[in-house]
Order: sequence, then structure tokens, then C-alpha cells
Amino acid sequence: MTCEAALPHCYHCGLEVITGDKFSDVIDGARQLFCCPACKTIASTIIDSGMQSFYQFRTGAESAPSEEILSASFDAFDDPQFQQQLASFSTDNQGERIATVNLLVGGVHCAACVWLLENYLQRATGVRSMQVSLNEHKATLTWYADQTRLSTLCQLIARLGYQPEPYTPSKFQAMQRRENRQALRRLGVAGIAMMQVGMFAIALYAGGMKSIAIEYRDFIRWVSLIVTTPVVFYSAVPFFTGAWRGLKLAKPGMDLPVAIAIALAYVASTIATVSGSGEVYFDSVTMFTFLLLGGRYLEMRARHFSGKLNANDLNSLLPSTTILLSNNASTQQSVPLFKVKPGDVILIKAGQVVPVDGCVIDGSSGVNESQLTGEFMLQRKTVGDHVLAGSVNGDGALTVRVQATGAQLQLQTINQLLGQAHVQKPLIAQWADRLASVFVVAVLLLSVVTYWIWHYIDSADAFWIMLSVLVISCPCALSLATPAALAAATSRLRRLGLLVTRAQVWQRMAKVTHVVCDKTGTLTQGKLTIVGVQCHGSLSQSQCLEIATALEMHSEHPIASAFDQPRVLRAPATNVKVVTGKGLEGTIAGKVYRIGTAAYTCGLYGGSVNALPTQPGQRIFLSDQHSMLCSIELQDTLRESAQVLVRTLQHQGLQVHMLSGDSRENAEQLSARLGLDHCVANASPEQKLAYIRQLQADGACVLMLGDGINDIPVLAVADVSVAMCHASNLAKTHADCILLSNTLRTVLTLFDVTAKTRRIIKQNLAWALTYNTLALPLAASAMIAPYIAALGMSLSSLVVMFNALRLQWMHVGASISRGSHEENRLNIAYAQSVGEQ
Amino acid sequence: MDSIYLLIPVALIFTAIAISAFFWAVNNKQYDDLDSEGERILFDEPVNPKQPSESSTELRND
Repeated sequence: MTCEAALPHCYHCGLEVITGDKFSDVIDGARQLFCCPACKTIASTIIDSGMQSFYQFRTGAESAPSEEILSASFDAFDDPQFQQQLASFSTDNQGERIATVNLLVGGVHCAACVWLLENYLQRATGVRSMQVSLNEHKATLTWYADQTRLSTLCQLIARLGYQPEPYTPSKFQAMQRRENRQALRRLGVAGIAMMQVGMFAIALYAGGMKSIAIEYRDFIRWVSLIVTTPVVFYSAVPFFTGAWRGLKLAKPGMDLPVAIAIALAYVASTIATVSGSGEVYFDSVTMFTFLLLGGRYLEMRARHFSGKLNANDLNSLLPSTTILLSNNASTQQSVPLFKVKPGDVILIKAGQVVPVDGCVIDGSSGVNESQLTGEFMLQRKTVGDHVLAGSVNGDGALTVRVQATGAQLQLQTINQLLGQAHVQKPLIAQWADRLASVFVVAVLLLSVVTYWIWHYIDSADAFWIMLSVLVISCPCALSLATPAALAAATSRLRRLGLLVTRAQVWQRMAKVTHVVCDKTGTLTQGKLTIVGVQCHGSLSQSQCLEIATALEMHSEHPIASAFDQPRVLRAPATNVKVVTGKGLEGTIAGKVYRIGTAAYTCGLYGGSVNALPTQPGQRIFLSDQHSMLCSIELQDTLRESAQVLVRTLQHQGLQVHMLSGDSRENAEQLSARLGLDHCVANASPEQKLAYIRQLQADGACVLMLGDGINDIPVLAVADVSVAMCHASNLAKTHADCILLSNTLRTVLTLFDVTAKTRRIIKQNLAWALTYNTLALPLAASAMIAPYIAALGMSLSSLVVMFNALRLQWMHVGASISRGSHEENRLNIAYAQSVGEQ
Repeated sequence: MDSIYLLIPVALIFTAIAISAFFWAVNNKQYDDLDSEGERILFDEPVNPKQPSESSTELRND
């Protein structure tokens, strides 16, 4: 497998161009190459409309479009019933009928996409406005209903290479948006008030030392009170409701000490202001509220990020329209999916997602069921076989009689499993919360005791001394200790390529004893590559591969992706015939070749399959009219860092298991190669779930790594779950962490950063407890000046914040660099072993 | 020193204005998409604008 001179990249999608200059165009005075006619068409559409700056500013290349998109028909979008459901109609002041629809636009990934879509559509006839939200991948399109049709506009979107789909707003998303705005408003009020009160506080502190006149002091106190009041009664509301909820359930959490601290400091300061005595703590109240709200806001954004696309809707996997056949397949009609009923006959073209559960009545094709089973090799379906919604039709057209739609789909069983998994997720109470609660109860008791003692010594001062005990021992630093460290660690991990969406990850990571991985798509790339070529004829390896590549270019089959490697083609294949389930035949430089199964290729020169030497592994064959030329061994590629991950985890004393829906042979081969502790093959989603439950019942704490729809229940039930970056949206929403970078090594970083975070939290808690226990006796014995106490309270919170921020620049992962040497060594060893075969 | 009786109320009025402006912005979706708006300014206006026509839907292989 030699990689000859570096190949040019497609101007549009960035893939390597293996077709020479067959598809090229002059852009900005320079000749640019494209990999396929689809890319070329999209690029000329963009350039012709004068929007070439799209290519200048986009981040990351587009995904390669399929020709399907460009020729797709959106006729079903004009169906009146369909529009009734999705669009809203109104009339503008000139009496023109306007319609508004929300579309989910697949493929939008950067600000340049937004710009391109908005500008392009806004100039089309009949469009009133077009707005795209990058966050939600949502487009709001308003058009004059009498001037153009929705299908035409959708076609324009498709022509830019994006995939428009009807957007069904879920209640869940509306709720998230409300939550987001509410949190922002609260944060804003607290922030602005904090700055104001902070300035007043400086005046008060300075005045305290230089003995300010009482009238000015009281005036500033009253103003501070006015500014702090909305912070307490508006911004801090979530803490009070949380504390109340905790009390009602008899499970006081972190909110209780926070609420008590805010309330006490506020009440004490208000009493001091009104009576003109004592000390005020308004600056502490506002700063404390702002910092805590800030941490919670960041946490909430991470949570929302993972649930961006129709989170709880499995149906978003399915297409919104399908082709209905009627009158004995004589008429074809594009209809919205919800109109299809059991008993109808529909046509599923190659490359389309199967929208229903049904039975094949005509045609034959390989169907990819990896979304449901994790097995990515095509399953052959012919007349009489069942197909399941959510699978992808591979290489042939299928006519299917519908058996189930909507809620009856097999796909929905995954949903039920998921429900179960959530209910039974083990709950571990957060120990920092418990500590703070215990501390609060202790402080309350202590202040009562203080009041009681001082009542006998000096009854006039008793109340003020009790208040200062309460305020000084306010567990501000204690309550900030954990959230500050978590916020810093979350942002650090995000920069390292891992998004943490659930807070329980931090403490559970410490207890992980077993790491369970899915196989396809997680440990492997879920993509075949060539691992060996055995030549039988006179041609060399590279000549054989060149012929094979020329032929496979014409196929959409997963095997063809193994031949994607850059290779300069001297002669393209012509007259290529695709024989479903067998292989391809084509003419190159006047000679006929076949590639595919042994029997099919033998057929070309009239040989017998038995005459071929038996060889292990998954193979395809290449023949010409005279003899067999070679056999090519294919294998799923291991992710580059899979070996390092397994070795490092085992080195740290963890067990690494593999759960796979794939066949026993493939799974065990991989397991042996990686040296896994245990491997389960042929596992259905139910069996996977049962396996994890069994491990947990035996006392294990499980970290699950997965990607497919079939992994979702296990991701939900595992103690900690990590979804791969290409995982389905649904899998992502149910995982605790999402890998944003495509390398498994980041999982090791997770172990490292969580360990560091726990250390920082412990330091913070130790500091906060020390501060509080030192300050308490001083306050209780009335030996501390109140303004120093207030200053100390703010400073102790700042110390905790800065300690947490250290996580941002801490060095991560000595174990990782050690791992990469190991990996190189193993890669070399592996390459040698392949070479020897 | 008596000027604070004028200046601090003025500061409070400004604070109130700032908060109401912030509320207005949040309620008008200004904070809903924090990622794409910042980059919008970078794009030039399209050169030689041409209306997208509906006739060129087919693939061009020329």
C-alpha cells in the first residue's frame, strides 16, 4: 500500500481527489479540483451567486455531499396536511399570504454556513426572510405562499449541500430556552449589583479605618441595601427553592447552607442598617451569589449542549418523507411519513434510511443495521425478509410492505429499555453537600449556645455576637469549594476535547474498577481497510490494487470505502456493472475485470472456487478473463489510540471488557489483539444491559464507552458513560461525557483531570474548614473586629476560587506521554506482523 | 462630601437602565446564539449578486 505523491484536495469537501482533473472549475482565477460532480455543482452554485467568501471563512470542510441530496425531491413538503402541521400562515399588510416554517438543517457547522444559507435564500424569489440558528441547526424561513412553494425553497437549500428537514420543536427545547434566559437574567442582575455594591463597600472599608461620619456611612449602607435586595429576592431564588425542596425531602443538599448564608448575611446587614449599629455584609452577599450563579450557568450550558438536537426523539433518525407506490407500483408519489399506514407499499432507494418496519416484497439489497445492532457489515435482504426502521438501505432498491410505523416500531423498544435504565441508575449522595449540611447544623447549634452564654455575661451584646458567629462561619468558601473546582475542570476538559455533562462524573471516576467498551465505532473506526493482498497471477500488488480501486470507486458498499486511499489512477473503469450481493464488473483499458465474492469472480474465467487456496479472514477477490489475479484481506481498522488506552488502563489496575453486537470470531480476534480482560460477542442491547447490571451487582463501578443507538441503554445505566464524538445525538444525550476529539486518549485525560479535581476540592474544603473553625471561636468570644470578619469572608472565597483556577493551567497526563511511546512500539510490531503474512 | 447625595442616586439610575437594557436583550433572543453572531461581521457582502434560479437543479457534468 504505497502512498504516491500527495494528492490535491477537493475545493469543497476537502477529500483527496483521486479522479485527476475530471471535475474542475476556475474559481477566483485559479483552477480548482473537485472529487465528484456533486461537490462541483455545489461549489459553482455558491460561486455563481457571488458568495465565495464562504470558503474563506468557514471552519472545517463540509461533509462530502451525496448526489442524492442534489436531486432529492421535496414534493411532500407541499402536501397541505403536512404544512398544516408545520407551518404557520398569516397575511401581511399588503394582503399577501405569508407562511413561516421551522426547518432542521443538517450539515450546518460554522458561522459561514449560517451566512451562506441566509444570504442565498434571502435572494430567492418569494422569500421574505431566512434566519439560521447555529446552536440549534434550525432555520426559520418565511415566504410568500403565492409566489413560491416550500419544496422549491428546500431544493435551493439542498443545492448548497445542506439537508433540510421539518423541525418539530419539542417541549424539552422550549423549556431549555426558558431556563437559559431565566438563568442569564439572574446572573446579569447579580453581576451588575455586585459591581455597584463592591464600590460602596470600598467606601465603607476605607471609612471604617478613617472613621467616616455616621450620616454618610448610613446613607451608603441604605443604598447598598437597595441594590442588594433584588439580588436576594430575584437572583438567589433558585438557592432558596432548592433548599426548601431539600428540606421537604429530608435530604438537605448544597442549597441549604447557601440559602442560610445568603439569608443570614442579608438579614444581619439589614438589621445593622436599620438600627445604625453592627456591621454590613452586602458585598459578600452579592459576590457570593454571582459566583455561584456563574458556576451553575456554565454547568447548565454544558448540559444543554448535549441535548441540542431533538434530544428525546428517536424519530429524528427517520426521514420525514417517503415514496409511496400505488396501483400495483405503477404510480410513485412522495408523501410525508406520517401518512403511511401499515399495509401500504413503499419504495426505499439505495442510500435511504428505512422509515418503517416492514417486509420486503420486491428487490434485494444489503441493509446496514448498525444503528440497531452495532454490526456494520451489510445484511442481505431479499423478498420475504424483514427490514427495521432506522437501518440504512445500502446498494439496491427495495419495495417494502409496511408492517409498523410510529410508536409500534422496533426502534421504540430501545426507548423502553432506556426508561428502565434511568429509573435504576444508582444514586450516590454528594459528600461535600452532606459535609456542608452537617456543618450548618453544627454552626446553628453553636450560635444558639453562644447566645445563651453571652446572655448571662452581657445581654445587650448577645444578639450581635450571635449574628457575627453566624455570618463569619457562613459556609461561603465551603459551598464554593466544590462548584468552583468543577467549573474550572469542566472548561479545562472541554479544551482538551471532552465535554462533561453530568456532575456525578467527578466523584464516580474515583471508584471506577471496570472499563467496558463497545467494539465497532469505539475501539475500531467502524470502517474496513486493506490489511493484505495475496497475488495469484502475474500482476504486482500495486497493479492489482489500482484495478480494484478503479472498480470500487463505482460502488457505495462499505467494502468500497476500504479503497478510498489515495492512489493515482492511470485508467478509469468503464461499463461498470454492480451485481447486488456479488460484486462489480468493469472494463479497464480494454480488459474486463471482476471484483467481489470468490464464486462471482471465478465465473468470469470459468474456474472453480475449490481450486482457490483457503485463507483466513474476510476477503474479496479480483479476476480477469483468464485467471484469478489476487485476493484482498479486509479488516475493521483499530483506532490508533485503542491499544494505548487498554494498556494504560490495565496498568492502572482497571479491568477492560468489550461488549460487541458483532460476530464471535471478529470480536475475539480483536480482543486477543488488544489483550482485553473479557469479551462478550453477539450481544443484543438487552444482553449488554444485563451484563453491566451483573458487573454492578458484583460490586464493580463501570465506565462505559460507546457510540451506537444500541449502546444507549448501557450508557444510561453505567456509573460513568462516555459517548464517542460521532455517536448518534441520542447516545450523546444519555452519556455523562462526550468525546469531542476523535481520539480515545482523551479518556485517559478524563481519569487524570478528575483525580486532580478531587485533590483541588479536598484542598479547598480543608482551607474553608480551617478558616471557619479558626474564625468561629474568635467571633464567639467577641475578639474580632466585624469589618475584618466581613473582609475575611470575601477573601476566603477568593482563595478557594484561585485554587480552583489552577486546574486551568495544570500539567495534564504524564501517563499519556508514556503511553505514546508504547503505542509507537506496538504499531511498528503490528505493521511488521502484517508484512510477514 | 455632600455631592454623594446626588451622585449615588444618579449611579443607581444608571444601574437600573443597565439592568433593563440587559433584560431587553435577553428577552429579544440576543443571547440565544452566542457563536455565530460574532463572526457575521467578517463576511463581505456578496459580489455580483445573482438571483438563485430554479432551472439549474440538475447536475452539471461539463
